[in-house]
Amino acid sequence: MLDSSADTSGTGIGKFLTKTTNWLLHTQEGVLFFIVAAIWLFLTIQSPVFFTGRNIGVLLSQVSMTAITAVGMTILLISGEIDASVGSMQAFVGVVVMSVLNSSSNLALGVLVGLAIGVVVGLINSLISLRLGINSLIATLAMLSIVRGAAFGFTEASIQNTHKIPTFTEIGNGFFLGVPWPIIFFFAVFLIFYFVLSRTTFGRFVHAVGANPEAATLAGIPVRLVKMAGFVLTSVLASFSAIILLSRLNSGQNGIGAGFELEAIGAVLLGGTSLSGGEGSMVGTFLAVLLLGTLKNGIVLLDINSSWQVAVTGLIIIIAVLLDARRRRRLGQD
Amino acid sequence: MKARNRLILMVLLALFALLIGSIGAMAQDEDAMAEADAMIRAFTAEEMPEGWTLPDSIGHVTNYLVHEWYQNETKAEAATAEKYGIEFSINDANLDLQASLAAVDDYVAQDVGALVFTPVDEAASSPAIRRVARDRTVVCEGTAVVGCATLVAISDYTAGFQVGVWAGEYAIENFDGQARALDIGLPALTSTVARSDGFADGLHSVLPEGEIVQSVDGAGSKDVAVQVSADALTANPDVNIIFGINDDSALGGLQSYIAAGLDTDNLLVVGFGCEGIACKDALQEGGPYKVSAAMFPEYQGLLLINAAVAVFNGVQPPPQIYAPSMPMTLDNLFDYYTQEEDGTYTAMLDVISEIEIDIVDPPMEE
Repeated sequence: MLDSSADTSGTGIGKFLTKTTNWLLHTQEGVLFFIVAAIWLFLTIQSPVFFTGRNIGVLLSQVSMTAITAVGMTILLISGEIDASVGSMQAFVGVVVMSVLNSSSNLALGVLVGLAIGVVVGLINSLISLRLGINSLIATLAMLSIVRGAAFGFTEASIQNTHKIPTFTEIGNGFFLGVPWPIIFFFAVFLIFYFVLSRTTFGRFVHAVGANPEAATLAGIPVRLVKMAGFVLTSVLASFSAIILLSRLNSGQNGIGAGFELEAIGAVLLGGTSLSGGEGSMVGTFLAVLLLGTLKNGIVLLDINSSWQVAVTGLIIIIAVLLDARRRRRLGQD
Repeated sequence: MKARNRLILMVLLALFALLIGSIGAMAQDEDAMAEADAMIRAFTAEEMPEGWTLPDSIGHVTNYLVHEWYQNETKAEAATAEKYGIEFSINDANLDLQASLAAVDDYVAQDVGALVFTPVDEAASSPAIRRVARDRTVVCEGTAVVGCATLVAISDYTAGFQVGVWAGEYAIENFDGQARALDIGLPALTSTVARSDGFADGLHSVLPEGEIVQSVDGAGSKDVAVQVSADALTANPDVNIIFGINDDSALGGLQSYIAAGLDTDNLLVVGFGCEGIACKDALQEGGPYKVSAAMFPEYQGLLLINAAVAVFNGVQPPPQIYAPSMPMTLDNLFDYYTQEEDGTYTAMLDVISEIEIDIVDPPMEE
């Protein structure tokens, strides 16, 4: 009995090790995990402050906004669509919400208005893409300009915080049990949508719609509705990240968020989500966002010219697209 | 032999005469330029010199109109032009060089009377500006471009130096002479590099042991400044001075400092520009944001129109017409601005025009 138990345990450990090794070497998530771990080790050796609670808190807080938007973008890309307007949303939602907060001094109202903008922009994006049949990249690039223009039209200058609601600044800068709120928000969003994507009917629909929309239609899946949900979800999560950013900046800035969409889309692609839809990974997205944030953090900690942070995003996108092309070749999709 | 000596003597005399003549001409030029400078500052359409005419129209090619600085400056230009009866228009390039040069061509096609030009890229804009300036008045704003008749701008180095001195003196009084500064800069532009250099040199002039512990690129934007300064403050939590090349950068640095849970009683924030409400409100709050190199866009807008009118009438201006700048604090804010009931601020142009401009030259590079 004892021997048998020992054997089972040994087999279990062996299986676990084999599975872990396979995951590390043969999946994009595994490779990303390996790269992130290697960079963390390198930075820990190179900078005495890198692996400290404070810096990890700063690093995770910094990436939380991109990560929250990237969660929605992962679902949308798996469904075979894309949203390039999320960068301008950071500016537009910011100036509108700060204005509402200043005039109403009601935090709940401000947050609701911000999320409502997300719903409206998501619906418009989906209508243009799905009803009018315009490629979602083109449609949302146009929306990127429209929303940016709306932000500039809404205010000529930045909108300062005159409401002084104490809980407002806590959203982006406060702590709960020593953990920054943006990190808690991100993990809550991540866990909810990880579950939705992997354990619910909607999650299976998203994969089916992205992999083969014709087959999904024949199977009775409401393709347009699923895609529309993806658009709205992405916009709402982009609005949510905009509210966190607004709290961190403590002012509504009409010029912020330039290149934010590239970071979010690049991270999702690098995380293993296919540009052609049908497959993707929430864990991969998180690891890719973490990699992007780690590189940016490391550049400053090692006192390398911080202008290189911009180049890092571009580099990540090229690597992501190359990996996606390689994966598609392997699967015979090209 | 005698003839040769006489020849040498004559050559020497001729050279001496040439030298005296050149010095005289230079002095005359300098006098004329100083006179032109004074004339441009004092110009009003009501007391226009005899024989002068006003251009029908003035166009300003801006490079980033969404920034509050340019909005306030162009508002002042528009108000001045309206007062003079000149049609004024703006064409913004939004940091796009091609759009900037296309805007210049558009204004030439419209046969605008005079052009004010804020370059996106000073070197790349030069051929176009030289071509246009052959038969048209072109005045540069912010940064010099070869071809412009003159440049209207503050001395970025001087303004940085002044707030650097102020920060050093503050550190002596409040931080026991300890100064560990974080510089949130913008290395892509020569003007913003001059601000950072001026700040460092000003700080060192009163506090030689003061240290710029790290310089980061905040891209002139508050969100990027928050991000890079958060990382920099993790590496250097003992920073007690944050300098930003504009107010967004400085306020972004302050936001990161607060978010990091550091004690703001041990911090001085030094901004640059003070063109908008954010800086002036921050000065009034009495927190760590205590000084900013004020650039007075309202007055610079007036100077730009005056310079364009003068050059249009054949005046030879100096290479640069210096706009005033000074360290603005809560103590002197209301010497130069009044606050309206709606919270906005109005510049007192008469007082600003009296600010003494004392240029500090950067040290010669070895």
